[in-house]
Amino acid sequence: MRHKYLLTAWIILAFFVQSIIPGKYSLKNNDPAHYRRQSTGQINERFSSSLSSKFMAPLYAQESEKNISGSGQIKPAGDDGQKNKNDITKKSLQHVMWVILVIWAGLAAYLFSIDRKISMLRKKIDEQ
Amino acid sequence: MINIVKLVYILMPLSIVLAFLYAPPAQMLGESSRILYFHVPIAWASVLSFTVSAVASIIYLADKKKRYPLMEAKFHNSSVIGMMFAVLTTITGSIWAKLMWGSYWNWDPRETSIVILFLIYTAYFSLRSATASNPNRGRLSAVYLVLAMVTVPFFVFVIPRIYPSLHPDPVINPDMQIHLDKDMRIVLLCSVISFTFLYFYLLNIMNRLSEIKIHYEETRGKRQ
Repeated sequence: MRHKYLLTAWIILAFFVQSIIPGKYSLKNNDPAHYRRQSTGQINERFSSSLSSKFMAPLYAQESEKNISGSGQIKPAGDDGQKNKNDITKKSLQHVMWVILVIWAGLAAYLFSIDRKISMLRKKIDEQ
Repeated sequence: MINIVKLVYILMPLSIVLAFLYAPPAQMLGESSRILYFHVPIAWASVLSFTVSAVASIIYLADKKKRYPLMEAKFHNSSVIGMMFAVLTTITGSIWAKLMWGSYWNWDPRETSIVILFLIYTAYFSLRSATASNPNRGRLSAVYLVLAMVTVPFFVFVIPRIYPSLHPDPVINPDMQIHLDKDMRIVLLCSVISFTFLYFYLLNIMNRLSEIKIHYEETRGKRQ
């Protein structure tokens, strides 16, 4: 019974971690236009643009603030811009990866404890 | 066997890390293509568990001398896990559909066929609940699972190929080839192995639990 509470707490924690990550996958951001049905080409185009604007926007903002406060100049777009974009994508992917790893760690711990308990029960039955 | 299956504790985190850090994003699909490394292996595990449950049902029906007393629990457990994986496949597929097609549900042939498959297996669980006190419960369930398994290849492999579908076919296609980049193929393979191990590990845990439950019920029956 205690494990059920632990599992529920773990899922709530995972959702909490997921919701504080800024951007497209945040539970707080809901764009009504996103729900419209479109052709595959339009969807792909929208998806690419959404990756570069909505999903990246909060992180881009952080990066540009750093650039302004650090050197006092805004860096021009180009190779550096592309590099920044790639870095930001990697960062976002790492966020999602950590969330999934946390969920897996919780599930693995739960499975391991069940496995151990079953083995102990089995031993007791064999002894009897 | 169980010790090999326990490799899931290492393989699953490895697959997650590879899916996010090693695999390149697919052309046109972008980063959302990474859901492939979870959606396809879960779907595979679902089909595998339904197949195992059908095979166990056949063994149960053929076993007249009752040499395998736990076979009933085994085919039931496998179908329970199969149903769980089918639900997860639908959830991951819906998330991908939302990103690619614009809505969670589009009544695409692939989605419609999975709904029918759901209904077939939900009917199995209803049948099992309805025949709880019936002495022929095991035989009825086994026959139903064999019949249900006959429909699986049609709904999973045949129907989505007959009707035009938006569902991409880099993995399951008429060419019988995996149309994926080498790196993507490696990650997909690693993920498929992880989820297969996870399925067998879950099945093992559930079977052992059923064994204990049966033993407990038998001892309680003897005491009364």
